[in-house]
Amino acid sequence: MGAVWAAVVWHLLHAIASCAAILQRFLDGIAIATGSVRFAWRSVTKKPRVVAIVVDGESARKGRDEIVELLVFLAAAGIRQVALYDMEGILKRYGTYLEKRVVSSTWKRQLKHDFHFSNGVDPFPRSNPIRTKSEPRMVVELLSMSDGKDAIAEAARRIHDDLRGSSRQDQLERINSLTETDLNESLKQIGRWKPDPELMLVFGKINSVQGFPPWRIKLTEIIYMGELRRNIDSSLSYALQAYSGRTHRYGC
Amino acid sequence: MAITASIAAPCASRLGAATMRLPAEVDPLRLPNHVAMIMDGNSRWAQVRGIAKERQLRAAAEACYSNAREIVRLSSDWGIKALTLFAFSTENFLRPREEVDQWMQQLDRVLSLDDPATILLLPRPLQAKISDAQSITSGNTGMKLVMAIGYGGHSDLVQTCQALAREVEQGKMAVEEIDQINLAKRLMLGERCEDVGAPELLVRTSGEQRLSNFMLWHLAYSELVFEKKLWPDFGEEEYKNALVEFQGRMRTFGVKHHS
Repeated sequence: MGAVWAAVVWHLLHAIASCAAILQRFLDGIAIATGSVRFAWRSVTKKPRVVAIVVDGESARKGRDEIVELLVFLAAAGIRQVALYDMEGILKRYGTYLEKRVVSSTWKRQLKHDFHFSNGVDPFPRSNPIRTKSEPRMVVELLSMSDGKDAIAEAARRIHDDLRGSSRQDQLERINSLTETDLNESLKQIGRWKPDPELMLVFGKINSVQGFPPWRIKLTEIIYMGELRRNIDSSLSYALQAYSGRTHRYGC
Repeated sequence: MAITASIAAPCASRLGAATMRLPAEVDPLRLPNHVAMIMDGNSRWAQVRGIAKERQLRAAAEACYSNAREIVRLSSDWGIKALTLFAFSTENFLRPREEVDQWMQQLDRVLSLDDPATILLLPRPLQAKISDAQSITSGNTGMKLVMAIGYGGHSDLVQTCQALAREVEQGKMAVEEIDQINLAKRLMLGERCEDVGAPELLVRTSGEQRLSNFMLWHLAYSELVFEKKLWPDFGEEEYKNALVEFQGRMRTFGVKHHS
């Protein structure tokens, strides 16, 4: 008899938890739709400025709508820059589609965001000092494997190119005094330098950064989100809250 | 720096002896060749145990390297081909001088040359002992152990770019040959672990979920397991669970490991 009651209680608790989760998602959806997420996140003192999203190949192929939803949520939460990465570069091919859908979704929800999508290379030419009238509220970089290790190799070649014309002694001195700053500068020159994401959300079946530009994730908080699915607002909220609630110890 | 040495192989055939000791839940055919670990949480471990503040640093360092020896033993017993432990980062050197000195003293004290399976980890004045330890273990054919001391992923990449730039300047290679492959070969762990490849699995203890500038290049495609236990409490059970989790992902999803 006791076992029966225990089973009943367990099932009841499970049902309550499921209803609470459904209610939470419903409320989050209202929050996104009404823009109140922005106001909620304004009061959060520690919010990542740059968020990396890593999705596996299957999610990139089949989860475009979910990715749109994800970007809209992050825009509403006040995230300024998103580095959206899939190893094979599938999302780069759908960049225009994603941009249109994201803009359309945010306008429908009256969030009035500006977006700028770019394919891994700096959207503003370095030599152009003139800024556009309205600076994008959220920049979305579409990245793939070619923006990772290959970009570092390109920056390394660029460093050597910059040495040409100098005397042999000067070349040796500059090589011997090479620093992280020099490699950063080289990445900037080829349009591959971007700020490091403070937070990375990994979606899919693998908890791995999957070749995301290694130079940029020195201190990035990595949260594995599981498979990409619809109505993930609750999961995203929890991830952002988990990030803001952490005490970050950086070895010093 | 990254210090590499090889463990003495077990007397019995390597696979047979390893599978006898492997926990039943772990599939011997799907073991990762190379495991990397970030040994985090030692100071917190000493704090939560109520150890007097003036003894916490020493206790933390002792516990850290004591557990490292146990994990090295388990890894070798279970048939892991290479184990890389992140002991001390470039950023850690920015900690108060007293704390850095304590860690270096404990490294010297806890790891001795008498044990061929371990390496003396040395601050600058004692660098000669590194080559002694590597000489002693050079004939071993068992698991490869790499201790990353004063290591930073960014500085590793910078020194790699330097090495390649020098080779180009000396006419030993063309600029066009500076690519992913040559970069990977010049990284600190590049040639040392060429036979086992990059780590397939990274375990970080203490609940922190970051790479903290550790092997940024090598861990690009590694499975990440973030363990909540503090490093001194990460034992056989936790290690087994990490391997089971790794194998569960690989088995279920059939993912091929990139390098």
